[in-house]
Amino acid sequence: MQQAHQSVAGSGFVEPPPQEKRFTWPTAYWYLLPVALSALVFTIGPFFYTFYISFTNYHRVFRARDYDWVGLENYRRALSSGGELFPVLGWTFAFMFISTALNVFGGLILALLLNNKELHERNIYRTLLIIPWALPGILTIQVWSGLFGLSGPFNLILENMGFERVRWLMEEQPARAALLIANFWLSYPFFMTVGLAALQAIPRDLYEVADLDGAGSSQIFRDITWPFLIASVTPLLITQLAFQFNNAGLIILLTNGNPQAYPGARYGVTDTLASFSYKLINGQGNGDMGYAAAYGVFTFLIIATFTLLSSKVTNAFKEAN
Amino acid sequence: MAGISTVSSAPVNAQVATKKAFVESELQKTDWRHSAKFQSSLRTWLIRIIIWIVLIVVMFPVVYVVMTSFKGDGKGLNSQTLFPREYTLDLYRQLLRPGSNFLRWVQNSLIMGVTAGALQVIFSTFGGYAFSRMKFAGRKHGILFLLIIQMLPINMQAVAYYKMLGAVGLTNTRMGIILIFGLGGSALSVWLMKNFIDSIPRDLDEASYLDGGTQWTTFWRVIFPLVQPMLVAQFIFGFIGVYNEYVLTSILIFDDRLYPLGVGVRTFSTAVSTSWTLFCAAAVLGSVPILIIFFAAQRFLVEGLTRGAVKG
Repeated sequence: MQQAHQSVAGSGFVEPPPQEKRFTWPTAYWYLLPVALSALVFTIGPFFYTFYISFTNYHRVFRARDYDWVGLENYRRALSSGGELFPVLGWTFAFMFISTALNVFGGLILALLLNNKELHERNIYRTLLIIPWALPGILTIQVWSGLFGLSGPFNLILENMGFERVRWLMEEQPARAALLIANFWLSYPFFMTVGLAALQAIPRDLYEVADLDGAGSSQIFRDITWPFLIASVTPLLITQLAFQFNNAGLIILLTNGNPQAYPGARYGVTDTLASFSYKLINGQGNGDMGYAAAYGVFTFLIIATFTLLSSKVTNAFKEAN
Repeated sequence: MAGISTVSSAPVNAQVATKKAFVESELQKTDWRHSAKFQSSLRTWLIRIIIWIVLIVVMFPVVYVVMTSFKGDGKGLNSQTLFPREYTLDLYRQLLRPGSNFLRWVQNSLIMGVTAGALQVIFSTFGGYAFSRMKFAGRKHGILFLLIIQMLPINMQAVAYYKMLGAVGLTNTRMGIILIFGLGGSALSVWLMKNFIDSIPRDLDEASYLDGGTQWTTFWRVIFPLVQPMLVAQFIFGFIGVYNEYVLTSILIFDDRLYPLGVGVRTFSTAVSTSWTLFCAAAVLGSVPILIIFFAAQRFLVEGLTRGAVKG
């Protein structure tokens, strides 16, 4: 697993051996034609088109046909004091980092608990604990929004235990907590699986040597088990951070960004950049596509910076090794 | 890693420790509570209890939804008990009634998911083969390029997709979704396919050419049958990708009769509590096939992903 992801990230690819030269180049392009065309039409084209739309005042309802070039107006609006970009970005980054940390560590801790030979029935536990990953997220997220409802089961349990109901999806802190909880439930099985694979890949001799040398169990954990576990998830951290940064579906289906930041605001306190861009396109009373495209460009710039920085960091690691 | 070397380079400490351990174990023989066996089974039971608690919490939503789906129409959300007083299949009957919206959504999901998955598999097999076995100008840059465009967030493109599909009259059609999901996300699958084909020994190609095989027969008779685990894995990923998507689908389709299942049942889950029980039944019906596919194809998925990612 560890190796697998490193080689994906490292992109060091193997040149085909010289005997392959027998093929003349046009054959290769025939094989590549479908992919090249689809990438052009469905990825590269839309990418540049988004830039273009971000310089117009195209609106899906009011100016669907006769829209104009407005230059940097959409960017100015987003960055101005009344713009939504900066307030939304705050929670976006908080959500991205807290969620990733919770999911990774939770998954690894469960992997450690399950990696016990004397737990003979551990395969049953593993299968049951993987279920949230195997279920379609689009349905389970909607289930969670019902669980957190005002008279949903969580509040009924709280009430039966003598506590007050929590307005889960209607107040800032509970709504944010609800997102983190549901997201943890959705994501820990992946890291648990990766962690278990990593634990099983640790060479037995290391433990034997450590045992012979009289290392205590806590020392063995600190010096052998933990470093191996961390090494297995490190290559996945960037992907996970980027995934959470773009995780619009969770937020739209669970809180829809609510509660509102202030009366009349277009964004809510649980909106991330991705969910807010969605609401600009598809939310009630919206359809401000030019403005939404500008948010798409911001998303791209942030992801690109992030990717460049992370590849620098990864390369630095490689050179150090 | 530094820690390991400190552990192994301490022979003196080791001798002392073994001696100490021996003395301790002799002492412990007198007291069963301190015996190693008892200690470790105590620890195992502690872990077991922690896992049981975790399991109860994790499985609660699943059990809750399944139980609610048998409660029949009515006070699902406000019901005070987890288990229904009377088990009934009324909700399932209601969903599966001929001509129901639910059946229409199942049909839409199948049409869109299967077609998009198949398109993705076909395109990536050709592309992956070319990148793995052929030399051509732009190969190196092509691969880097694939890796870069794979990182573009798909929701960044939503505005452009909306407008482009509108221009050719494909918004609010299943065809639009099929094209975008079947052809828009092929970069990653080409990359995985390329690595998978890299892991197939080149001797097989050579043998085929020695037997007088052409480029095409080698691809079709030798390589294609061997990439089948990857084809299955990618088809499943492609299918689930469409089935599980909300953001783009809900922007590009606005007729609820054309929705795929996941987007369609949202009309139940946002409505007041009378539809909540119906949503639960729909969620069970919509999840069971995916659950089965996941566990049945787990081996394919793991092989497809790991062999596709590690260089052979």
